[in-house]
Amino acid sequence: MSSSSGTIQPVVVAAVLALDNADVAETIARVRGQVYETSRVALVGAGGRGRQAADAAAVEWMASVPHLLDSVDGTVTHIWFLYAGALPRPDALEALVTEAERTDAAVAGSKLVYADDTERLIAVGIATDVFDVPYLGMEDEEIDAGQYDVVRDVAAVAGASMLIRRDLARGVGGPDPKMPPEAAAIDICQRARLRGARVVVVPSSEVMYQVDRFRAESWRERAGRIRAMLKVYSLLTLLWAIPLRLIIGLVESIVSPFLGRWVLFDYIRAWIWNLWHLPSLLRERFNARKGKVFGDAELFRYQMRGSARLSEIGGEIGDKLRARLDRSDVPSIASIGSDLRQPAFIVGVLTLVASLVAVRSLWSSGWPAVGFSLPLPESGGAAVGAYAGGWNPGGFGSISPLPPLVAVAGMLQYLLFDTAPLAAWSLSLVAIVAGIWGTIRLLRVWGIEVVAAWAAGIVLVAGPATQAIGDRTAIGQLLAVGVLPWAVRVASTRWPWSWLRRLGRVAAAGWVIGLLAVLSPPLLVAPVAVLLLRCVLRPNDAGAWKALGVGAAGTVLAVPLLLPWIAVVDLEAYLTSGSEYWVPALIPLGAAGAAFVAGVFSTRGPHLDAVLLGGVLAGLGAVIARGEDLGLGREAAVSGLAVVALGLALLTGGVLDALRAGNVHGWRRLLGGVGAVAAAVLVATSLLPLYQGRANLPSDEFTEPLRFTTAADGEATSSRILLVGPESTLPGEHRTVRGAAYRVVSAPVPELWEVSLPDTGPVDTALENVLLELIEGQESRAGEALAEFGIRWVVVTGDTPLEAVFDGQLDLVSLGGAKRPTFLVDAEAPVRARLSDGQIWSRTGTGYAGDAATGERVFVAESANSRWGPGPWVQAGWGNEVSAGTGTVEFAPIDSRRSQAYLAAGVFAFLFFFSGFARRRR
Amino acid sequence: MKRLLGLVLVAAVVAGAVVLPEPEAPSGPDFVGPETRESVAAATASVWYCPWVASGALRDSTVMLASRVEVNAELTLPQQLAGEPADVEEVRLEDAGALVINVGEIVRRGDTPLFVEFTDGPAAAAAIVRSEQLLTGDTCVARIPKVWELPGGTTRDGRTMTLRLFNPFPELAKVSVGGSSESGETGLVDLQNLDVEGRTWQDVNLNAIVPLLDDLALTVTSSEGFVIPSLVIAGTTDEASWPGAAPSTVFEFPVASPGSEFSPSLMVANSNPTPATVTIDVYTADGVTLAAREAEVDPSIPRRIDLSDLAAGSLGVRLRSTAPVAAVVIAEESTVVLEPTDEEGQIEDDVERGDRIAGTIGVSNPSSRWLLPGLQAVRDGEATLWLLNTGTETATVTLQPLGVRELPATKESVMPGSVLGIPLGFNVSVGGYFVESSSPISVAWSVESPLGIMFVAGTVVSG
Repeated sequence: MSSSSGTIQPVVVAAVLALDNADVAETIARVRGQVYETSRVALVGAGGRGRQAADAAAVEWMASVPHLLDSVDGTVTHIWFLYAGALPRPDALEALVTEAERTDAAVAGSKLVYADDTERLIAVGIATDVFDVPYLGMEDEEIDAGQYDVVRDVAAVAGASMLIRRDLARGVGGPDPKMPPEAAAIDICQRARLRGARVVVVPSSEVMYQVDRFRAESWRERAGRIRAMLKVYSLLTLLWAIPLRLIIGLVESIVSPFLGRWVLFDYIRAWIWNLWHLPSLLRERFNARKGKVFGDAELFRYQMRGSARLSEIGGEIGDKLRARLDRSDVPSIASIGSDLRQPAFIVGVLTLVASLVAVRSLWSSGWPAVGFSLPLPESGGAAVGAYAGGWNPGGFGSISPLPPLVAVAGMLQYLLFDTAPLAAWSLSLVAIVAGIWGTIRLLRVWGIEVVAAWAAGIVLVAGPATQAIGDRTAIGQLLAVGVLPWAVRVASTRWPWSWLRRLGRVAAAGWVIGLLAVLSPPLLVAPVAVLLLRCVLRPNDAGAWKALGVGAAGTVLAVPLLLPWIAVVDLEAYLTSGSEYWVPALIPLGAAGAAFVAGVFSTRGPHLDAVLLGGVLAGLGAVIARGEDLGLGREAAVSGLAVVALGLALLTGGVLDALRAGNVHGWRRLLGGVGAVAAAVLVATSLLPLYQGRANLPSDEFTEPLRFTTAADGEATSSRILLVGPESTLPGEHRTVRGAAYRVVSAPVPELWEVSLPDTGPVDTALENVLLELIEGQESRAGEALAEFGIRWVVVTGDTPLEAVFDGQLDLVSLGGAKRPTFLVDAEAPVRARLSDGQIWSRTGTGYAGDAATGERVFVAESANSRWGPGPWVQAGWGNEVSAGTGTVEFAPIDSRRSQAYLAAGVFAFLFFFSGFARRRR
Repeated sequence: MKRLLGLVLVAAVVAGAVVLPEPEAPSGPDFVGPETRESVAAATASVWYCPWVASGALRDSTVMLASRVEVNAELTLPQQLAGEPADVEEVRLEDAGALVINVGEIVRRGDTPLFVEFTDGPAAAAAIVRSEQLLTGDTCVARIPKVWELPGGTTRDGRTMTLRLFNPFPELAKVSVGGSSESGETGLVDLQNLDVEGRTWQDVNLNAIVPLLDDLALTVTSSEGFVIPSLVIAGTTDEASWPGAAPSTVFEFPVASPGSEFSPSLMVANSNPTPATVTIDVYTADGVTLAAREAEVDPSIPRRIDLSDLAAGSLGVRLRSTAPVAAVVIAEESTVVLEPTDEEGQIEDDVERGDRIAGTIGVSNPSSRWLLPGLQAVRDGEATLWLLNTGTETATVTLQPLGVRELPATKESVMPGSVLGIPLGFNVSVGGYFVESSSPISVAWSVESPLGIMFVAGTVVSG
């Protein structure tokens, strides 16, 4: 076919893609009605249903796009892809063909307008961000006044009507069949652009479309966009784009619930889908980048800066704010109260702001190094491996089980690109947000409205008990406080009507209580205890007893999540070791007491229940937190503080909300006012610690004083530090010699997995003997003696008679410039792993690495254990000697523990996804 | 009813929490610092510091080691220039052995203070310096206090007083030296906050700072780090040196004078705020003279107590004090005759003797076991072992020579209240002695030669 002017007239085949249940008949009719005739019309896809529809419309049917492309001969120049349901105006194709030819574009797309209101725009071309999230750049239901009517290059065009050159379509392989429609459109446009093709939107080509079928935010669309991103970009771009995409998804997951959406599961599903389809992705990626003409920069030219998703969320928040403020010039207390009673926007924003303020100092450096709070290990994977049957690096190392918190934090850190501060910040942020939000949700279940519940949430995450947890630097319990209300709530909501949902509820209780226990194992029983007490208060409430049953079942299901820790740990020793005793501050104590007494006499119904339950919980928690005389140790005591925190939160919520409810009168109402003032004092005393910005934790005490070690010759990580000082100034657990406390830690700064110390072993006894000899004046070369243990520095953290012990040694040099009195070992090879000729090996995770030396042996200054290798392993005193032949030294994990860890992860995943699945099934 | 029950329940729980007692704080450390290292030979590794050692063109030094067990010893000889690597010599002492090491065979660069590290014990060390004109030495020390007392100094005409500050440790020591003389406290402003670099030493010539003082006692205080001081008094030819002393209320000096040609005196310094009364008991081979002399020692005024008129010939002394004092004994062969001895103002020939001088620190606790490294190993000198029994019963003393091979022991009896001098010539097979007594005694030894004389305190063996 040729035109009258002698130029080749484009020959177009129309392909209607029957990708969903939309009616194809009208679309085909519209195609047939085009002023620019098509050479063929084909219906593509939808299997038997598609074939029937094609027969009914008297068009040919093709099983898939590749089949169609194969069937198109060389006379055809273009293929016009239309989605079923798209209704092109009669001149739509003509406009597309004309403008595509004029502009020499290989891909041209139509303007989409509402099918039911053609004056309103859906899309005129699509911009995307670098993550292939579409950005339309127009208001919802924006009137079409011709403002976009210019042919222009765009990142992508809508798949609802897309004209593409046949040779290009064959070259790039057509739309990706694994992708949903919109993602596939973006994908093919990007692949076309990589090949040097021009992509334009032709506004004069109008197609009517149903807006709800455009930009459907399904998880498949999300997955498709991720796939599109992974297919086209260079590895260098993906190196930063993937981490950013993950973070943005995480932020969206956190913020979206406050905007009335729940996208966490979609987010997770989308990534898992891509992992599942990794082989095809790699294949498609290879094809997409084969023969490319342009690089990523050409794609960036048509993309917006930043994140379209975050811009959209920001816009939504802005809209909501404007909507609130526009309602009246000066928002009245009543109107604000009315807003706050809705569990949505303002409370969400306040919660987010308070939480961000509360963790702002953790952003750059993570958890402070002080007491039992230590930074996360450098490698999240190594931490998980150490938990799952690997080497516990506390002290001189052992096979003692690490607390499950290390595994949880390690996994998150691994997902966050091994950025330890980011993982710590994220955990703390999520814990605080979850704590406040969970309190709101829990109290709403129990009949308390959102304003009071929010205040109760503040008391939970930053009240006197939580402050006490922070003072004790108990990271696990601080995080667990955020999960505790959820663990109670998940069992307390209304009993579902279907068995699937009931099972889902139990599964949810299992993984939530499991998460609580993983963060703080003693709190495993806390939800059941709370629910039991509620039953005591409401013996006739069948719902309370059902909740108790769910809680109990969830607790049983949660136990496997503590594997392998729970299978190995000496529970009695765990619960009784260490020393803690809580002495509450007088003002919060008085406020809590006044609020309780006033609350008991001034509330009724659910408020009275909350007050009584809160009072009992606070009292019981206090008994545990002060229970050293009962044989309770540190972990139990600090967990008791978490129970106190929940109790005070319930008490605060009950007392404050009773005032709103106004269901008491006279002197009771007056008393209620007194109680509310007392509760307000509790809230006020909780806000200040939040402002400090360290998630209730004290300031860092070790990072700066120990930073000098990084300036020393060689790698600081190859050596250890001996810290001596009062026990309160030492990190984590400590040992004593003749009553003086000391602690051996890794340089440059001890990490979270070193908090606990194993039982005293031969190496500990050997070090103690060295210290005893020093104290008794029998040792004059302390440096040489300490070097054997890999100790390179001695740092004095406070007043201790041990400081004088290190004076007058022939091979210890006092470092004058250090922030704390510090001695440097002036002896050969004060390192943790060394060859017999003194060559130093570096520490990597829990193992070591150095230059391979065939036939040589490397001494590893860790507690002797035959699992160190490569073999042959020989016990060298209290240490290990292994082959240096491979250049690495590793601890072979304990298989049974590793299997148990896999089991725990599997159980968690099953409970998590099953609960999500069951919740969404109707 | 629900309210009441709830209130009662919470009250009960809260009461339970209130009555739970606060646990007692941990008792804390049962020590206040390192236990003071004494200069005793114990059954452990030990380090002995020998500040006054020199080996060069004019002088030679010998380090003498003795041990009751098989042991390795490492001699470290730092350089005076900070940062320069020290010379190190490792030796081995076979079971119950002794070893005499010529420092010149290790290094010959003049002054070479050193320290000796034994890997086990009991073991001890002593060092001597000799030349064609002098013989001096004393036991090395193991204790490293922050404050040292060094009595017995003088800057009088004919005497040169040197203070050596030896810092064998790697870190810098900041040292202040205080002085007291017959005129009271002596302002040594130039000797405040002296820096002694790690693994080096400094010599301070006191004659240039405070000349013409008859009696000068020093106090060396380290504000940072540690030093091992040694006081050296040089005459025209011979010289005497002794380490710092720890204040005590009792000192025993088995030898104050080896013979009548020496004038013994006791130098006592009192750093207490109040005067101390000291009583001197004199012991000879024939018996004891209790309270032979009594003197009051004022604070900050050292006291020289002349003993030459108390006995003819050799003697030992015991000092008893009402307050802890520091003391050394000095024996001088006087050539410096300050006053004419005849009516015409001429100096009689028989008064003109040599200028040999010796001094040593005392023993504050008599012991039943002693190590004497170097006894009978000094060439060209007559050694004498001095055994002082201040007790009330006869002490049966076993003298076990230590050397490269097992040598037979001999036994001696020391009567109560007496001092016994046992002459022992040079024996090439002997490098020291181990002395064991049936009751506590004090032990020292001396070497006398035409060149000079020296006193060497014994080293107590503990345990």
